Amino acid sequence: MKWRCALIQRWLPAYLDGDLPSFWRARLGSHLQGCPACREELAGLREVVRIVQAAATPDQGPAFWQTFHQELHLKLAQNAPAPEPSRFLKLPYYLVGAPALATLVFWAFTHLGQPPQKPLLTAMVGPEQVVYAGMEDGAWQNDEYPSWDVDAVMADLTHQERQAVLQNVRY
Amino acid sequence: MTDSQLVARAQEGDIPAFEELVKKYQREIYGLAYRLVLDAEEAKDLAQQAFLQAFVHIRSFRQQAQFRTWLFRIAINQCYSYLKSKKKFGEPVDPEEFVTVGEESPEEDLVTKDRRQRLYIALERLPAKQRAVITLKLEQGLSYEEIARVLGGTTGAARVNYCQALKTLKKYLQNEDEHEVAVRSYPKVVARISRR
Repeated sequence: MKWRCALIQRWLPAYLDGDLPSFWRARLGSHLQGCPACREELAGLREVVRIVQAAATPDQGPAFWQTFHQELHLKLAQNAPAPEPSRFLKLPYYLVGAPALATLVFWAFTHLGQPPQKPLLTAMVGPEQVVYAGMEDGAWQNDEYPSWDVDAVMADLTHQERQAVLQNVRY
Repeated sequence: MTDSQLVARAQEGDIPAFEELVKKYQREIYGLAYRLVLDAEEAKDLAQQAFLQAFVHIRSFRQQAQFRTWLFRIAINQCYSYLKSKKKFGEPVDPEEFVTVGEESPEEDLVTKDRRQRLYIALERLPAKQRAVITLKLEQGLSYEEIARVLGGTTGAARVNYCQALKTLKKYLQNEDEHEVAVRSYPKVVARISRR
């Protein structure tokens, strides 16, 4: 086989399709006119194409396809994908950050912005819980509970007693 | 209803819409699988498997390509996987089994059966990729661009692959013919060899 024939015969299947660029088609056509070996090769390829196309897979008949569908339907039903997530869940993830940040800022503002408040004495200890020493022993009369009016109490004291009280309060 | 409308409905989980697509392409997919694995029962399983895979992954189909091409690609991948596992673990197929598909048609005469059998033997000797190219080009009528999209690679590579496949198939068919002539010319010798 001549080297030119070898080169030409490489493109013969595409020449059969008519799928070659016009330049190559013209070149192959002119070569085929004068080369019986390449014409024979082309005829052989054409015969192969005819054989393959003639031996197409025969139709299997309705019973085959009915079984095919039944089996496939079962498989499809078993492997049906989960329903599509709602559009809200398909939002970009960076949009989730905005409400989260707003919540964080709100919480920080409400909880960290105000100074700490001292708890009220009445909230900590109810008035009914105040028990004077000796009240249950009967040491005090009903109206004689000690007054919380410091000035009134201090006024009844002597100078020495007052100094002693102030000394105790200070330390 | 067009393919893209059916695909859109199937993407929402509509099984009847997908089954419409199955009915549309079942013969092509089955034919392709049959040509590649040359076994009627396996071809049926592989075709079903291809449709199942397509249904499971249909949400990833973006409608940029044709649904048919996408389906071919899935079917060919299924067949490649099967052939790979068969090469590893399977037993060689008896050429007599190749004609099982055509046996139901009564009008098919012996000559046609014989030709078909010889073709299948020759096809079986081809590499899987060349068999796929031949089937896609000659049976399914795909262009080289579509073949390149199904099998991967460039259009030029698809054309070269097809040319090579056709020439190799021609050579194998000629070998089969020569073998047939030899067997008919020397029946006693062949019988003696086969007895050994």
